[in-house]
Amino acid sequence: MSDMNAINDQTLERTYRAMLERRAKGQDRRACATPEELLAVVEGKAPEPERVRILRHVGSCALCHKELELLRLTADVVEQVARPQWTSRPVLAAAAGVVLLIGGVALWSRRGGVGGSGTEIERGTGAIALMSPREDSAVTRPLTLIWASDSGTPRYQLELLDRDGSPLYLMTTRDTTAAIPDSVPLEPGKEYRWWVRALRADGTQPASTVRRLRIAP
Amino acid sequence: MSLRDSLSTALDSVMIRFTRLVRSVGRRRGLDDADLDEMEQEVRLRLWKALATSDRVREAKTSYLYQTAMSATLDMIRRRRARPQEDLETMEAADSPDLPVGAAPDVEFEQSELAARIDHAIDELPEPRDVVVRLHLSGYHRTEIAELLGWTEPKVRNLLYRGLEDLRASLIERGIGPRRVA
Repeated sequence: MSDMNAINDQTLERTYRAMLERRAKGQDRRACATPEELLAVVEGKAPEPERVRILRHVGSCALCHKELELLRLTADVVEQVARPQWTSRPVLAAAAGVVLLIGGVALWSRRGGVGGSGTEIERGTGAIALMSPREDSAVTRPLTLIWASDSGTPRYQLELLDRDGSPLYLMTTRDTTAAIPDSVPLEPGKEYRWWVRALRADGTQPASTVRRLRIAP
Repeated sequence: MSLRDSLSTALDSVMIRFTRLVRSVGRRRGLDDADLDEMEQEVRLRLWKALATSDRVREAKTSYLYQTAMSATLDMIRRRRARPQEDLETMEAADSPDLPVGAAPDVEFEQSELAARIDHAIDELPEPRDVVVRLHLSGYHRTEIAELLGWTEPKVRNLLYRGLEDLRASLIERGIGPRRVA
């Protein structure tokens, strides 16, 4: 089999994903993770051994993979839609846990968004210090974002946005660094924004300022 | 404006933002439009039922919105599982990334055989490297794998590096010679 001898990383990934797609056809789902198990993984509520077991299956089942992604997407997007930061009403920034979904001048409902043309950037409280890259730096890929640790914070949520405020990459992590995947489309010469929110155990969510970066030409 | 219209406007404002984010993030995560459409409709309907007035929409707490939306998506998944044929049709309609339409049977057999050998080689990887490798090959970036597993990114990077090295060696033993796996 000459093709086998010529396999490289891309072929390996394509072959694996194609196998998952073929396997999904007519798949008996009795061995699949239950929807509740997938939800427990997304919400970080499954104990580690369970998490590993469920994700081992997700990595070998295209149907469970898709369902996990739908749940992850819902969780990430709802948090974004309901997010109180970056509004033009100071009272909202302080109203932890309570959101005003409409009626205000929220970032996402505003054409131009953060730092839109001629618009002053509306910043978070700056409670979380951003470390690297520095404000308005020109950076190269691979891109790693670093911020300072916040005591008592088990998780952080990072957002990378384009100039218009549209999210390009969202992630939740226990680290204080984030490597932006190469699959995230960042164009040389263009400006992007990023910020971090701490998800503290007590329910408060202090945020960093919004920082600009540019991809070096 | 009637109460119903007012509620509709309030929900629309929420859903415009919700839809915009769902589309941009969902497509990047490889979800197709049919999935995203169904999820949006399910969430919209659930919010409509749960938040009977526009004031409630405006004042809804994050946690309540979260629970409502997650419950809607969870129900959608349950309903789909009760109709397995639908998923089958969706999968059949999707493009096969490595096999052209009407691929010759011998090519298809060779690809299936290759996939089976890769799958078997991953099964033999030590735990938990196998999990990280499977998630990587199924399309997750290591930062996402770290998030899902609740591990640090350096730990995942290390497991992935070693797991792919093991996989390379195992595939070579099976007569499959990857030039570069990661």
